[in-house]
Amino acid sequence: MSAAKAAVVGLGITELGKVYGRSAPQFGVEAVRLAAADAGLRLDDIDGLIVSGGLSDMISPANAMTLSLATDLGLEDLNLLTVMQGYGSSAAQTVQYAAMAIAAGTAETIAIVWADAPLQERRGGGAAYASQATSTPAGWNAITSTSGALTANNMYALAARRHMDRFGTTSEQLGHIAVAQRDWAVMNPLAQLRDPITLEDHQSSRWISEPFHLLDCCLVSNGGIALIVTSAERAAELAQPAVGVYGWAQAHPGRTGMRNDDFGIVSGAARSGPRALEMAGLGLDEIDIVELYDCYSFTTLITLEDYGFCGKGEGGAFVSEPGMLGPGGKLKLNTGGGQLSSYYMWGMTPLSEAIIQARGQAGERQVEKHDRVLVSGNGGVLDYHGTLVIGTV
Amino acid sequence: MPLFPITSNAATADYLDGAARGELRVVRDTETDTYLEPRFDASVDPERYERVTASGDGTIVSWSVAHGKGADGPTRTLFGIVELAEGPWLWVELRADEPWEHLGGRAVRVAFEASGPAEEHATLPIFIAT
Repeated sequence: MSAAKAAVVGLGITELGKVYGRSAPQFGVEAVRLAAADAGLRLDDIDGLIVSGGLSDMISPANAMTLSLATDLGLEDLNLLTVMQGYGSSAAQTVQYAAMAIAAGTAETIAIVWADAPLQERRGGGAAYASQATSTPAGWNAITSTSGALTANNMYALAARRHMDRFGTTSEQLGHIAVAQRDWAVMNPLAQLRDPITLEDHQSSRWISEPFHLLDCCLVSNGGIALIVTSAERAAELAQPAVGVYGWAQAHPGRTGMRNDDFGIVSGAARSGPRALEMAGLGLDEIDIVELYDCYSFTTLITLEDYGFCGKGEGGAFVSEPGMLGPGGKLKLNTGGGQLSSYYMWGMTPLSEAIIQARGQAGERQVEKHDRVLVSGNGGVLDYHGTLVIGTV
Repeated sequence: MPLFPITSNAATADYLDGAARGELRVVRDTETDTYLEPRFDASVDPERYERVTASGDGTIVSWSVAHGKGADGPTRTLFGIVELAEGPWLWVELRADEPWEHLGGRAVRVAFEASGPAEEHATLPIFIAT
């Protein structure tokens, strides 16, 4: 296996979920402070800051995550400062950029922060996303939205339906993913949904956009998560067990809304996964834990196929195999409950759980063998993909 | 019908003006004699790309029923991706007799519908299963 290119030494997680009355930047500031304290660092030890935001950036410019966060944090004389946006692939991308910057000597200790606050009191999460679509009544996206593909729910439903039509994947098979992830979430004190569910619960949950039931769809959460990344050498001096960054890659198929023969069939994971593993010098069979971006149950399924855990089109049968998923299962997948059950911090959801597991700090849900963790980030409608391989040093 | 009224802008003008006339507009690449999605920016090379009217025939690539809440109760919207006979894909509202099942691969034909009551509200292509 290759050497760690950088290390995650701090993790800060604010209160998550239906937390009202705070802006995304306010969550972001708190998350960075928590991450620095977690690492045993002072804020003025930070010489790089990478800022990334979510839906708030699009629906509420005054509530957006911008370069001003450096001022909000009182950070001065930074050697690296930028905003990055790759939607669901942002978190993986920011770690990659930080690792490259550290290796190049651009900066030594970089804070990465993602925060969002789209939820408002007495207003559903779906309404937050729909408001973004209806707020732009002109242009190509407006044409798509008013024609029925109003939110990501609708767009991913089209991807899932295509997979079902091509390979015979069923709603019940997607339900196995939702049930297994909830079983993990039961043991995660950070999870918003901790009551166990059954396959029957999945099947009887209301339709959102066929073939997706409610329990196929992610939560919407307010909150922020930050990381501190530094060199593997410096990491040894700090407070927490270092989590090495061993491999990464990106793949961005694009062509949203245009002719794309792979839509719903193959995602960017098919290219970025093998390249990230090659960089880490690892095979898939050496991965202990898999933390996948799961905006929908289907996203998990297609990513498993594309990373090579099963053959193309075999994902439905794979996730339904008795003893495959959930606590005690053969595949340690989305061990915090994922975006379906724990919290929706875009790509920071799988990444934060990967760090917690690699550190050995997951408590009741800790996976015994946790040296190598494969993490995915997926954005757009299977348009943008980032992969990370992280683990113990 | 469309979920909310929309208006035209510079990027969508040819497509929506065409729809108002009852024409489905796409882009043709004269160099390769292939057709591109209407959102392709033909202005990048006006000598190579031209805006033309498509046949209006297509097949359903994928489809979904969106469930929502309207002022009068629950709503359902049938929509999907249509592959035009000329090749490009469009994300559009669909119409089909119920039950809405096994619609993938079904043939469709374009029709046009106003997105709102005002004069500035654009007319949109919708596709009806044949």
